[in-house]
Formats: sequence, C-alpha cells, structure tokens
Amino acid sequence: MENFYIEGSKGIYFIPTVNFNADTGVCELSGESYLEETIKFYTPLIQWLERYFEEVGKPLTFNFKLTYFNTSSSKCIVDILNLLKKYKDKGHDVTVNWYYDDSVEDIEDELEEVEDFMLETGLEINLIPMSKARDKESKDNKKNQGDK
Amino acid sequence: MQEQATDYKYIIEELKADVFAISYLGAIDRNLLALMAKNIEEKTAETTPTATKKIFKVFIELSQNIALYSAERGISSDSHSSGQGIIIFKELNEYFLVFTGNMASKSDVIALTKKIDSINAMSHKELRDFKRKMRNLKHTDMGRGNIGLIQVALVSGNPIEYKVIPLDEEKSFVIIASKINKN
Repeated sequence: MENFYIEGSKGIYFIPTVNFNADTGVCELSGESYLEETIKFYTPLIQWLERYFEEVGKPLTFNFKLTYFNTSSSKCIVDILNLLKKYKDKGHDVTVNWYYDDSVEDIEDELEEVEDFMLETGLEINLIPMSKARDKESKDNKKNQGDK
Repeated sequence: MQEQATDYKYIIEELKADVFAISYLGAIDRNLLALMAKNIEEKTAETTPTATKKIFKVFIELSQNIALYSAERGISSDSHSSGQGIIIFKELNEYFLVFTGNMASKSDVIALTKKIDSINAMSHKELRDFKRKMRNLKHTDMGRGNIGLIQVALVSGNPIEYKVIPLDEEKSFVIIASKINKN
C-alpha cells in the first residue's frame, strides 16, 4: 500500500501536513487546519485509513501535532478517532498521541479540547509536551551520531 | 444589491467610529482571512500572547460564519461564491473585540438569535457537553454554524453579543460581537 503525503501550508490555505506511512504504521497530522472545505480535505485521509485497516492490518500510531484547528476540522478529527476506536475494539494495536506546545502559558483550552475528544470517542489519547518530544529527538540524534 | 448595501452603510460607519485596528467589508475568502489573521497576530502577539490564540480562533469561526451563511453573496478573490459581510477587530483598554456583520433572512435571524441566547445561558461545562453532542451528529445534521458559535463562547469566556437591524420585510443586518479579555 502506498504512503500518503500532503505538504501543509500556513500562508493562505491553512492546510495541515499529512504524513501517513503504510510501512511503519505511523500517521501524522501537523500544522494548522483552518479549512473551509474540511470534508473534501479529510475524506481521502479517512479512506486511506480504512484501506490500511483492510489491506495492511498492522499496529497503528497516530500523532496529532496540530497547533490550530477550527471547529469544522475538529468534527473530522472526531471522525478519525472514531475510526481508530473501531479498529482498536477489533483487537488491533492502536496508539494515539497528542503533542501540545507547553512553551505557551495558556494551554488549558487545548488540553480541554483533547479531553473532550477522549470523552466523545472513548479512545485513550496520550498527551505529550512538545518540549519533551524535542528533547527525545535531540538525544536520539546524538545517539545516532555516536553510533556512526 | 446596491440598495441594501447603501442601507447598512451607516451601520458600518457607526461600527468604525471608534478607534479600530483592522476592518474589512466584502466577500470573505481564504486570502483575506489569512491576511487579517496575520495582521491580528502581529498586532497582539508581543503584548498579549495569551489572548492572541483566542482572538485567532474567534476571528476564524466568526468570519467563516459569514463566508458560509451570509444572505449576500459576492465573488471572492479566488473566484468562488462567498458570503459578504464586514469584519472588525478592535483593541480597547481591557479587552479585544471581534465584530462581524452580515445580511440574513428574517427566519435565519430568528434561529440564530435563539441559538445565541441558549449558548449565553450555558455554563462552561454545559457548553462543552453541548459541543460534544453537536459534534457527534452527522455532518449534514450539525446545523448552521452551531459548533462555531459554541466554540466562540467557550474560547472567549464571555457571552456573545448581537444586534439585529431590520433592513426590509425579508432581510436584516445582524452584528455578532465577541469580547476577549487581555488577561
């Protein structure tokens, strides 16, 4: 199954970056999602996930790294989470991570939003501060350089 | 229609009478939203970073409301049919204000004001519960701008203010305002 990639844009279109990898089972949605035609944008993402579940059927990790999203996008995020929940309920290994920017003072709104996603879909979402993720990435890079 | 545009010209002048930061009148499209959002971010990010994110969210939801639901349509810069209206962003001493104004049919105005009244009567928890309930409906059953307005109330933490100015037998000009505290 082919991978799925869309380059995000912040200037005019507010499109998030989509990076779905069928080989590793890691899917990432990052950047900003303030689209007007949300369903049109998110439908291929949902279709790709449905195909992955049918054709690949391996564990899946979904990383959300969204900094801004509108309510119309949040409806599509719920659709994705509901789909992941169904896959998990069938006995598959599903991990959902939500990365948030802990460098800003007011993160209550965002954390509340993630809590609502969990309540709404019954799916567990791991909250990961971006600073922690960056530290880990930096340590991994150093380790890799040391290995070489 | 030209006549209608003239009719609400005085309302716009009235809205702009105080000191304002950014205002726009016309078809709402993504180019415009991006430009205004960038200006708002630049204007507020340094002095009030905590409010910037809230302003941005409120601004996007209210402007997309015009783009989708205004009774007056225009052709946007990217050649799409889009709702026409006015967006004003103001900075005052204690808070920021995001105003939008657009034409709407009398029946839409009745439904909209009823919706805003019920949103304003809800606590923070009730708003969250209501948002989850609405979001779980099918896309087609979600209703016009429901979640957007709930989100505006949740993010701003203040009641949504509105004013309806009848223009003729069928149409009114509706102004929606959201106040975002600086701290």
